[in-house]
Amino acid sequence: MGCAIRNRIRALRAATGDMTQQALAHRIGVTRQTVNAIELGKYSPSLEVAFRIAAVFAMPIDDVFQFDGEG
Amino acid sequence: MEARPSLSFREKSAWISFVSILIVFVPFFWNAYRQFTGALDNSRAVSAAVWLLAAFVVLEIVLHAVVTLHAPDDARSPKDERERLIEMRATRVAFQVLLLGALAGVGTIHLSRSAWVMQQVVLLAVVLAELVKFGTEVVLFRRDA
Repeated sequence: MGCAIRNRIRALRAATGDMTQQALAHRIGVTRQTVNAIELGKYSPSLEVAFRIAAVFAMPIDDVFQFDGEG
Repeated sequence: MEARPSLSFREKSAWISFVSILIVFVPFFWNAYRQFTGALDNSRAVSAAVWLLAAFVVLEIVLHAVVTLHAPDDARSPKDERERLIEMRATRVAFQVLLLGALAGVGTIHLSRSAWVMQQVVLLAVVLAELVKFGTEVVLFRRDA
C-alpha cells in the first residue's frame, strides 16, 4: 500500500506539544497503527481521514499532505 | 522518534485465528487421511474430529478473551478504513482458494464417487480459504507496520 502522497504529520505532532500517535488516532477515529502507516507513507488515507487530520492541526489539507506523483 | 507501534487488536486476532487453524486442522485432516486409508477406524476418527473442533472453539475464545482483556478499548473500537481494506483484500484472495477447492470437490465425484471424500475436500477448501484469509491479513498488516 505504498503511496505517492507525502505528509508532515510527524512534524506537526511534534510542533503541537508532542501529540502522540495514539492521541491523534483517537481524535480522527482510526487505530494508532493506521496513523503510523500514514506517517510512514505506507498507506494513503481516505479524503475524509485526510480532512480530519488537517482539521486537528487547524491547517489546509495541502499544508499537511503533498502529492508526489506525476500529474 | 516514536517507538514502533505494537500489534493492533485486529492483527492479533488474525494471528490467533491463523495459528489456531494450523494447530487444529493439520491433525484433523491427517486423521481424515488415516481414516480414508483404513489406518484409523471410523468411530475413533469421528471422536477425534469432535474433540479437535471443540479444541478449536476453545482456543479461539480463550485467546481472543486474553487479547481483549489486555486491550479492551482497542477490541471494542470498530474497524477503521485501513483494517477494512486489508480484510477486503484478504477475502478476495481467499475466495480464489475457495473457488478452486469447490471445483476440486466436484472433481472428486469423477474420481472416487464417495460423498465422504467430497465432503472432506470441500471442508479442506473452506479451511484453506480461511487460512489464506488470515495469513494474507497478517502479511498486509506487517507490510504497513
